[in-house]
Amino acid sequence: MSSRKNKLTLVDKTKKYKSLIPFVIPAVLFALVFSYLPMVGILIAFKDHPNFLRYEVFEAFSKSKWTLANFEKLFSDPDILKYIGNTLIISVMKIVILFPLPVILAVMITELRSKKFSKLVQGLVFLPHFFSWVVIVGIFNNIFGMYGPINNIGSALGMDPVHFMGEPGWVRWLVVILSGWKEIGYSSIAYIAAIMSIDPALYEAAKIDGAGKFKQIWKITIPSIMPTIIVMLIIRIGYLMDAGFEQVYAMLNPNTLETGEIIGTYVYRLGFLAGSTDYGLSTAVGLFNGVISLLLILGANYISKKKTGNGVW
Amino acid sequence: MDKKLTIKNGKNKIRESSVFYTVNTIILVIISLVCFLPFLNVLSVALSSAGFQINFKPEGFTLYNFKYVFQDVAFWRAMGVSFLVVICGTALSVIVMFAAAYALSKRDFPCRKGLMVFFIIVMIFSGGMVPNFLVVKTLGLNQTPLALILPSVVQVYNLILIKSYLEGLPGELEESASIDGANNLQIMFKVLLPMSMPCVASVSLFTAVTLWNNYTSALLYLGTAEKWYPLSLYILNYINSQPDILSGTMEVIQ
Repeated sequence: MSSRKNKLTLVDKTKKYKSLIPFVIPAVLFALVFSYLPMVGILIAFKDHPNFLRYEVFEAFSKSKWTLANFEKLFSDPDILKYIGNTLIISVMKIVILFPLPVILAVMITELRSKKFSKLVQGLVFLPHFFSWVVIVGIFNNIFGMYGPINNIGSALGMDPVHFMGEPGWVRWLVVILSGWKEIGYSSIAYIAAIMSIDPALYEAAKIDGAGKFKQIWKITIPSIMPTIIVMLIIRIGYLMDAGFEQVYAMLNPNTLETGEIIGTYVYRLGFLAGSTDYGLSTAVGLFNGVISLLLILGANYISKKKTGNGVW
Repeated sequence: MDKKLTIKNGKNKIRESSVFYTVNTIILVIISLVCFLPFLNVLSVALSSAGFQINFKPEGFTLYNFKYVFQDVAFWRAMGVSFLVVICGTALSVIVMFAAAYALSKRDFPCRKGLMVFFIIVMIFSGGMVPNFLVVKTLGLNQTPLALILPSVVQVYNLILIKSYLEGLPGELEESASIDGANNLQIMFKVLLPMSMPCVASVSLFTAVTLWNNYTSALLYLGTAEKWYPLSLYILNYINSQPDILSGTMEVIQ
């Protein structure tokens, strides 16, 4: 029976599910128009300054010359190289500093004895995830502002006030701190779920053998959730080139462009802000970013599947 | 001798674990406060008069800021746009994704593997900001709220979630419904959708939160059509133009 099922030809399958085909069509159409059609637009990366502001899309496209100058500029322009560097630095800082924290938080939350308190803590640490970056950046503009709590505490301790949000030296740290504040709680969900599914008998046995709390965590909890940790880490590394457009764009100001501008915000500035518009270069930088991301994600998924049997798809 | 030692050892263990428990609780209280205090700060700022140093309680208590924001027509309009986008966008996206997931959850659906690859490519590669904008512009959607809804209909992660949920449902109900003469559309809306409510509810919540918070689409596609700015972009522009107490009030409301 099952072997016969596998041998259904495409014609048989189509006959069998003829009436279900219309169900998948809207999704396919939306994907074709809003995701695949733009991929054709990548050709703009090989065009010399197409003027979409002045002409219709197709006219502007055919009027401009084919060129590789955008890619030459991408690999030689010191500014662009700096922004690629910023992206990598911010991303690596986020991974190194922030990746372990949800694991630790999950272990701590699951060690709580009171169910009510545990629910309360979870509620509070998940809360920031549901707010827009706009709101969170606004809140921390106050917190780190000249007259905000941080500087108030600082001046009580006799320190000079710092304009954190406008300091090139602080912006990367603030990106990491805000990102951590928003997402650590929410990222811990996966680990909490993994810890909950560990067999309690393991801990009973360890207690009888006289293992203390730390030993139990180190020898039972961490090894049990290691597969989850590895999958999460690999996926995270796959998104290395994405330092968080919505966050960084909301945080940047002219003072902090130098150290805070990332590829995403630069692509936006080149493509959309009056005065510096260069559609060809913007698309080229975006394409470069997209291709590297694609390779990283495919590689990450391949390694994850091979090592742990789990991937994103 | 031996027995005494174990008892003593056991006591140490108990003491160690209660110390661990206390320290753990204290640290978690601190972490919860760190998550919560910024919200308290912004609430305090919103309830304070200008010209004070504000930590975590209002100084010079006033409701003036709220009154001011509530009288701002543009604020209400932005709020209305946000609600419109969230409601229409979530409904459209979840229905389209559910229908596709329904078809793709059938093992023998034609080109099933190929279609999954087709959608996963959407998840991991994009044409980039400028090509996306040009497509929206060519379709005449720029400067309209449709630009905030239509490009984000396809949510591949939700598709995968719903599909695996549907694959886990027992097939008998669907079969008996079709024997009773229900067509696929009826099966989808009257049998499968009610049965997968837990999954649909959480997917709808994700989508609604994403749409409510998203400001990139508005930034890219709306241009100067300020009457269609959603709340997120409206607040961002407000913060950038005059970073003062009023922006704090808007954040509280959101």
